[in-house]
Amino acid sequence: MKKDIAGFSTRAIHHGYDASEHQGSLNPPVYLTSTFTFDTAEAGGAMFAGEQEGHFYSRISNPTLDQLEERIANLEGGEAGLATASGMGAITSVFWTFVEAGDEVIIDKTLYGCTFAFLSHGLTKFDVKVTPVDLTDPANLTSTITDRTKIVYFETPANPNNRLVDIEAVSRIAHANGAKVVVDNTYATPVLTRPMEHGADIVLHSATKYLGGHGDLVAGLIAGSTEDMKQVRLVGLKDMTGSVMSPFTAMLLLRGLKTLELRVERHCRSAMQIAKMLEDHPAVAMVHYPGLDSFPQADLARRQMSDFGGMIPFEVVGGKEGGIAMMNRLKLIQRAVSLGDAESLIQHPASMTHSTYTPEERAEHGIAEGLVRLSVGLETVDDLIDDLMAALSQHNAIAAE
Amino acid sequence: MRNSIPTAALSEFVNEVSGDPEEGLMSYGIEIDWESGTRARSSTKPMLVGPHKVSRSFTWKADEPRQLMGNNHGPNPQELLLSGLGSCMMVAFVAGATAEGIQLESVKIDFDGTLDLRGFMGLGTNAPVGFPEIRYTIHVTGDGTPEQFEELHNKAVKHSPNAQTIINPVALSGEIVTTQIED
Amino acid sequence: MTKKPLYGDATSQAATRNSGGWINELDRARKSGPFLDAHPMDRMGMSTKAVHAGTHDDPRTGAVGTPIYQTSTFILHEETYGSIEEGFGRDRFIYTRYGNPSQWAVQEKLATLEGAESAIVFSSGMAAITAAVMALVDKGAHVVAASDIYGGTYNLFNQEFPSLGMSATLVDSYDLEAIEAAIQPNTQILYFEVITNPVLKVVDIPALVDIAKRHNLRLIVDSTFAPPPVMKPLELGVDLVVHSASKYLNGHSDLIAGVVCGPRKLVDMIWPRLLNYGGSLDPHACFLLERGLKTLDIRMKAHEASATALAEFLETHPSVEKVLYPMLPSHPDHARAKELMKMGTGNVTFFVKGGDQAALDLMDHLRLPKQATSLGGIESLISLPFNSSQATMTARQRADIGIYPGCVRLSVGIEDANDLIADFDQALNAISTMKGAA
Repeated sequence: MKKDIAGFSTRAIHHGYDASEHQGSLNPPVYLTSTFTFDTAEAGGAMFAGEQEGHFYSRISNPTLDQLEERIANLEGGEAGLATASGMGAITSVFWTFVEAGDEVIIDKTLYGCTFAFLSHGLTKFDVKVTPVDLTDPANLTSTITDRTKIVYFETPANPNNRLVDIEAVSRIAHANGAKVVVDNTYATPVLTRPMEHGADIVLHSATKYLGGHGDLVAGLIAGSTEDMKQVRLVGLKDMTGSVMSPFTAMLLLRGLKTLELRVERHCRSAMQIAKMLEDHPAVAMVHYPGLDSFPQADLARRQMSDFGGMIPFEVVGGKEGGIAMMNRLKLIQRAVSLGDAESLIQHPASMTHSTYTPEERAEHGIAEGLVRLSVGLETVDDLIDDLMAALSQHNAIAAE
Repeated sequence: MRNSIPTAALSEFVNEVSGDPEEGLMSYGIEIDWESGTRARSSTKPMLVGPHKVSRSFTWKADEPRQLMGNNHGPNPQELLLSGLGSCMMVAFVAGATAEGIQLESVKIDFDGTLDLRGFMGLGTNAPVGFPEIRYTIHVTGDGTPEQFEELHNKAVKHSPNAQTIINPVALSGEIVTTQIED
Repeated sequence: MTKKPLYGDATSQAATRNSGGWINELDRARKSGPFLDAHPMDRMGMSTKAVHAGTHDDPRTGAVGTPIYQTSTFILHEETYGSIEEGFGRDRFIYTRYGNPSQWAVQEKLATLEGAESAIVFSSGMAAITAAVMALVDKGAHVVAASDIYGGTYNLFNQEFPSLGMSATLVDSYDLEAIEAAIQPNTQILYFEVITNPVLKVVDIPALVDIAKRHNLRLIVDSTFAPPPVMKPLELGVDLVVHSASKYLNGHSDLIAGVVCGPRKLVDMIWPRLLNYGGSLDPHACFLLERGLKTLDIRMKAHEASATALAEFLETHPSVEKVLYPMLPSHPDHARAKELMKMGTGNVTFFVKGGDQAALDLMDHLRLPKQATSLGGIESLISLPFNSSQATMTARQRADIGIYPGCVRLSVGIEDANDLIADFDQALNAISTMKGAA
C-alpha cells in the first residue's frame, strides 16, 4: 500500500465526506427524499439528457447513497460504486446490464442458492447460455470459455463450502477471451480480499452480511470502473430491476462500514480458534476453513486473503441427521440463515440456503448433505466454544449408544 | 460567554427596553424585622422585572459588634451599605467590560469609610452623621489597556444605580404605623 | 477555501462594539428563530404552513425535505467559538443536545403553526413542561395550576416542587375567583390546560390571560388537546404553549416528543434548562415529527368529522347516558368552544348506562378502537378513566372532577365515521342485550 493512502478503517470512517458542506454535521445527513428540485426547467432537462451532473430522482441517485457508493468504491479499490436494495439486486442489475440473448456466461459450480437459481434457471430463459464450471482449477475455464463468453462469475470463498477461486489466474484467462470477471466478495469483504487488485472487473456484495454487520438491513453494493457502474446504474438498476436502496439503509450501512475492519478481525480470530477446536473434536468429520493446514487450498488462501473469514462449514459424524441434531442442541448460537452479523448463526445449506439445487446438483457441486454452516459472530469466543462443545459432547454420547 | 455574561442577551435586553421602556422598570422591596438588640433580619420581597414578577426568597441578618452593644451576628448596616454600593459598581464594571469585549481575569474593589459616631450620638459637634467620604480602589486584571480601564471605571460609576443614589440627593419618604401594647 | 463557514442561523450575528462605548451601543436585537432558512409564511394557510414551514430543502443537492442529521456533534471552528463567547450559541450548531438542523426544521414548523417566534422540541411532553416551568420560576416560587391537570404535570407540582422549596395551589379551572384568590406574593406562573382531560372542559383562556396580566404573572398553557388548527393560545395572549407532540402533532402514535412555543425572549430562557435537564429530541424522531406535522391540518379535519358523527350518534343511543363533545350544543362549554376553538378534535368522552362494568363490557365488544392510553393518533384509542388515567382516585374524588361511573374516554382516529358508528352500535346493542338478559 502506498504511503499516502490512509489505512482501511480510516477510509471506512472518513473517505469522501466533507462536513463543511453539511452544516458541520459530523455525520452525513440522511436524505430521505424521493425527488429533487431543479433550479430551472432547463437545468432539469439537461440532467435528464445526461448533459449536467446532479440528482433528479432517488431511483437513479441520492446524496446519501452517493456517500456510500464512494466509500465502497474506495474500500474495494474501484473507481465507482453502486448501491442496490439487496445482494440479489446487485447481481441481477449487473447481469441485466452486460448480457443479452445469445451471450454466454461461465459460473463457478458453488454459488449461493438464489444466485445459482437466477443464473441457471432465470437467465437461461432469455437465451443466455450459463455454464457451471469448477473454477477451483483455472484450466477448466480455458477449456470452456469462448468468444461469446461475456461474464465469468464466482464467489471466493464460496458459499457454503468455502472453496476458493484464484482470481488472478481466472482473470487472466477471462480477459484474454474478452470476458468480464465479476466476483461476489460477500464472504471475504474488502478487509481480507480486494478482487480488483487481483484483476477482477466488478465486485459485488450482499451488504446485508459483513458490510452492514448488524443483521438489521438488506442491501447490495457493487464496485468497478466508472463506465461499468454508470452502465449498471442507467440500465440494470434504473430500467431493469429498480432495485434501489433506501437512504436510511445507506446511512446504517455507512455506520456499519466504520467498524468493518474491527469486526472482521474479531470474526477471523474467533473463527480460527473455533475451526481448530472443531477439527480436533471426535464428533466432527470435516471442517472446511481456509486458515487450517488441512484446507485443500491453504496456499491460495494465504496468497489471496489477509485472514480467513468468519464462516466455518463443517460436517459432524452422522451426516445430515447428525448435523441437524447438533444444531438443535445449540443454545447461544442461533439457528438462522444470513451471516456476518454480530450474532453467531448456524444453518443447514442442503435444506435452507442451497435448497434451490437438486440433490444431484449439490452432489456435483460439492455441497455435502450433512454440511452445517456456522457464521461466527462477535460474541466472546469461549462462550461460543462452550456452546459448540456442549452440543458436540452430547452428540458423542448419543452416537456411542 | 465572555466574563460569564451573555453579550447577545444583554444586547437584546437593552434593545428591548429601548423599544418598550416598561420592560426596564425594576421594582424592589425589602422587609426588615427587628429580632433582638441591634440584630435585624432582612427579607427580599418579590421583585418586578418589567411587568413580570420574580420570586426573591433571600434573608440575611445585620448586627453590630459587641463594642457597639450588639452580638456581632452579622455585618453591620454600614458594611451592608458599602457592600450594596460596591456590588452594584461591580455589575456595571463587568457589564461595561463585556460590552467592550474586554476579557477580565479578576476584579476586586477595596472599600474604606470612616464614620464619626458623635453625629449618631448627637454630641453637638459639626461632625456629619453619615460618611463624609467613601474611599475605594479597584484592582483589575484583564486584557484592556490602563486607559480603557480608567474609562470603564468612570462609566461604571456613572451608570451604577447605587453609586448615583449615594452621590445624588434622594427623597426618603417614610411614614410610621403605631400600635399600642395591649395590657 | 476562503469562505468562512457558518453553521446555523446566518442572520444571527454578534453585537458590534465600539471601543469606549457603553451597553446602550450594543446593536444586537432579539429576533425570531433560530431558523436555518427564512420561511416567511405569515399569510399562508394552516396546511401550507404544515407542509412547508421550516423544511430544509438542502441547497447543495436540491433534496426535497429535510435530511436527517443523524449526528451527535458538529465540526467547530472560529465562527462557532465566537458565537459561544458572545452568548448566542443557540443560533449555531455545536452539539445535538444544543441544536441540530433536524430539530430546527421541525421547530420552525411548530413555531410557524403556533404563531410563535421560537420553539424548542423535547424528548417528551413532560421534558417540555418541566423545562418551561423551571425556566420561569425562581427560588421560593409558587404556581397556581388546574386541579385536574395531566397526572405527570400534577406530580411535578405535587412531588417535585416541595422538594425544591417551591409550592403550587391547584384549583378548579372553571373557578376564576378561586384562581385569583390562590395567587400569593411569590406566585410567578399560572399553569392550565386549554381543554381538560377527560371531561373536555374548555377553559376560559382570555380570562386567565387577564388575571395573569393584572398580577404580573406568566401564563403557561398545555395545548395538547387543541393543536394549532383548533386553537392558537399565543394569539389569545398566553405567554408559553406546551404540547405533548406525541399526540395530535405527530399523529401516528409512533414517537414520544414535546414542544414549547413562545416569544424568543422566554424560549431563550428555556433553552439552558434543556441543556441542563437533557431532554433533547433525537434527529430521527424530528424527521418523523416533521413528517407527521405535514398532515396535521388534514388529519384534524378527519378527526373532527369522524368524532362529530360518532358523538352525534352516541347521543341518540339509548344505552348512552351522556356525551361530552365541546362542539355539540349539549356540552356545558359549547358557547366558549365556539368562541375559542376553530374546529373540533377527536376527543369524545361519554358515559354508558350501567356504570363502569357496562363500560368494561363495551370495550370488550368493540372491534375497531384499540384499548390504550394516549390520544391524537390516526387510530381510534379507547380507555376508561376509572382503571387507567384516574385509577388512583376514589369514586368520590373522580366524581368531583366530573368522572362518573360509566365514563369512557375516546380518542377518535381518522377511520371512516360509518365504520366507527357501526362498531359502537353493535357493541352498545350487545351490552344492552346483556343487561336485559341479566
